[in-house]
Amino acid sequence: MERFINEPEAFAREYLEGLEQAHSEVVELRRDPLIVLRRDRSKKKVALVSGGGSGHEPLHAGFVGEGMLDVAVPGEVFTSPTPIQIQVALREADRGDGVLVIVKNYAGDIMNFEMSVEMAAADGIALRSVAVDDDFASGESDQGRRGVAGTMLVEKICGAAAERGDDLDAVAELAHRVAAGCRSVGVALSPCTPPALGGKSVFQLAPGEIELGIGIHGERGHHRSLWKPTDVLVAEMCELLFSEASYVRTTRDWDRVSSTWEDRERTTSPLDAGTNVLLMVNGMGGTPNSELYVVYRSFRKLCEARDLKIRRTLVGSYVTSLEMRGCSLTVLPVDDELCTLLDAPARTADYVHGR
Amino acid sequence: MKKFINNAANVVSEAMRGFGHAHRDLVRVNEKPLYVTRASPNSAKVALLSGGGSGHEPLHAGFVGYGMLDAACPGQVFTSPTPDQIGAAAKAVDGGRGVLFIVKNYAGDVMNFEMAAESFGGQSATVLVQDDVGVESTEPSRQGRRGVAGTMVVEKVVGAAAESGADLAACAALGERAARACGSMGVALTSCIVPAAGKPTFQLGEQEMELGVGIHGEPGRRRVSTPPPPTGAEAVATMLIEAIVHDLAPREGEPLLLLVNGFGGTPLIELYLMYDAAARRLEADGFTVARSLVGNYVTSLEMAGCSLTIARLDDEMLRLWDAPAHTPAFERAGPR
Repeated sequence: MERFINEPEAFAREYLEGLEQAHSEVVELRRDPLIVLRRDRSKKKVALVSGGGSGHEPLHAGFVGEGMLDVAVPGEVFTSPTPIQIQVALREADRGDGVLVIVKNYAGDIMNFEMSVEMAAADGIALRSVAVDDDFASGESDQGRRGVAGTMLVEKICGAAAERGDDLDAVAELAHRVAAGCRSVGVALSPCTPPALGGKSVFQLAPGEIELGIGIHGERGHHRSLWKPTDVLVAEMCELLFSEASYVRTTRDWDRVSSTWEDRERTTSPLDAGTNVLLMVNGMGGTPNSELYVVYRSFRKLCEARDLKIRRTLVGSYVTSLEMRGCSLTVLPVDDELCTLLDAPARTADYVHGR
Repeated sequence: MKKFINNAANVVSEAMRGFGHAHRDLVRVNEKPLYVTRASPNSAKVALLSGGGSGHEPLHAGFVGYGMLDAACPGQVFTSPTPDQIGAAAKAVDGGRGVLFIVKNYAGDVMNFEMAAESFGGQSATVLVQDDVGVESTEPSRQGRRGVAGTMVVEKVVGAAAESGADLAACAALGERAARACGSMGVALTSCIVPAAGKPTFQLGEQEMELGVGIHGEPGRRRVSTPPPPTGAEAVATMLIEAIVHDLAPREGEPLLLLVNGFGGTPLIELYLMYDAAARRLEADGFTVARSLVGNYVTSLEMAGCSLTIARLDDEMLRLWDAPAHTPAFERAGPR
């Protein structure tokens, strides 16, 4: 297998050891159970915890630090962290002002995080939670849509709000608002190969074939086609991205007064002409940045043609799928407040922003 | 060839247009001739200008901004920028205190930068980066060594000095010192595909790696079989570290920068794995890893692979390495 690896079983842990050593001023690694903590935990503020399977780096551990996450809980590659890991993470994160839990919408993650939230709440920790479900290419199912690149935006924006002193309810409402606003669509040019599969890719693509609407674990996409010029491809991706004017679904949040899960309606609003937006082009791990900028050039033109006002832009590999070649597009409506929070400083291992 | 491109002929201009818009708060892209300058230029300092073939992004355009470069000239993929491009960029950023050219040591780049320096007319000096120990120094070569990931270190360190007011001679001297302080070596797991060629630059077997590969896919020292688990990454890191240490001869206890640089197609999780192995190896041998950088900084299109760079940082270079930078591809917090 063409990759830098020692033993497949040690892949996720050795990555984290490297991360800690390279960024020891920012993060601290706990080994049993495995969690990544922000080194400086002196400030009293709402804590942010996120996690999920490894293989999406820099998400989540690379975003632990000032202005983003307080604790990340990494599972094995493409595997949810365990409830024990998550409970320790919630306990370590809480500084008395409560904890916001950010989860990508996958059955395993939701189950383990919900179980952990219930147990941590029983221990007296104030909690709120948000499930990110921004993948517009994943069709409707009982499980709802998958959480992909929009997760990074929730972490950035809510991290900045927590840092400036917003209380738990304010940060949680903001998280739900950002999660509701995000629309993402991905495409794969080549599959990825989890180390533990012994060199077998999660799916196969014929030479010259691409898969539109791919998930970040190689989940089946919307359709396959032959390679096409980027202007044409991005136009197709934008059709999926903008296909639904609005999208209404039910998500769950922890109600800490009644100590139960509360259903709440989430609506992704139409992107009317004149809407202020952030555009994100996210690499899947094996795609060089120069190609992401070619994608951004097309994406921008198509959004401007719809009269969207591009207020902020993010281009890079933030929510990846091992060495998959491909990218995703995300659009998020923004207002002045969200822009301020996006511009606020972040000092994490893999995302440094602002003065 | 599955890439995000429209047609091979326009890949650089289209990427630069996307880049310019995505980072409109930090840079301006001049289209004819093609060069990149800061959105907020500072004409009261020595101007730093670098450039070279495209395909190594974020180098160089991604490092234009406060604390690093004033201008970058991207050529076509793996092709030097023209003297006209370089000359126009130099004129655009020279505020009277002179222009420092930072050039990777490739025949075409060296020649075109020399021609541009001559025709530019203003005061200028040149720093040549040749940090690639992939080709052993005992081998006779008129061309000398290639410039690779150490270029980013030189741009950062000299950029910080220029920002704090150093004059042209001081910047040039520091650049020479920083360039000599760096040793790098790369390993390729796959080839890259130049868009205009449409096929891999070189062929590697499933279980083969090219040790000492250049950032254009130039051959390295030798081909080796992929080391088997459970210590594959450790074995590769050890080979690279030993080659660099042998050549650079750092002293025990002196502060070293360890840069693990991805070639474009290798995910971050693997780069941290290599960092882990390399840092352990250096520290086990009594060396001090005082600074670290892990990411894709000097790439080779979508090549899977990475390079390690060790830089021997003296006190001044350490301070300059830590100084703030605000560029599209490298942010270091601190006041502007």
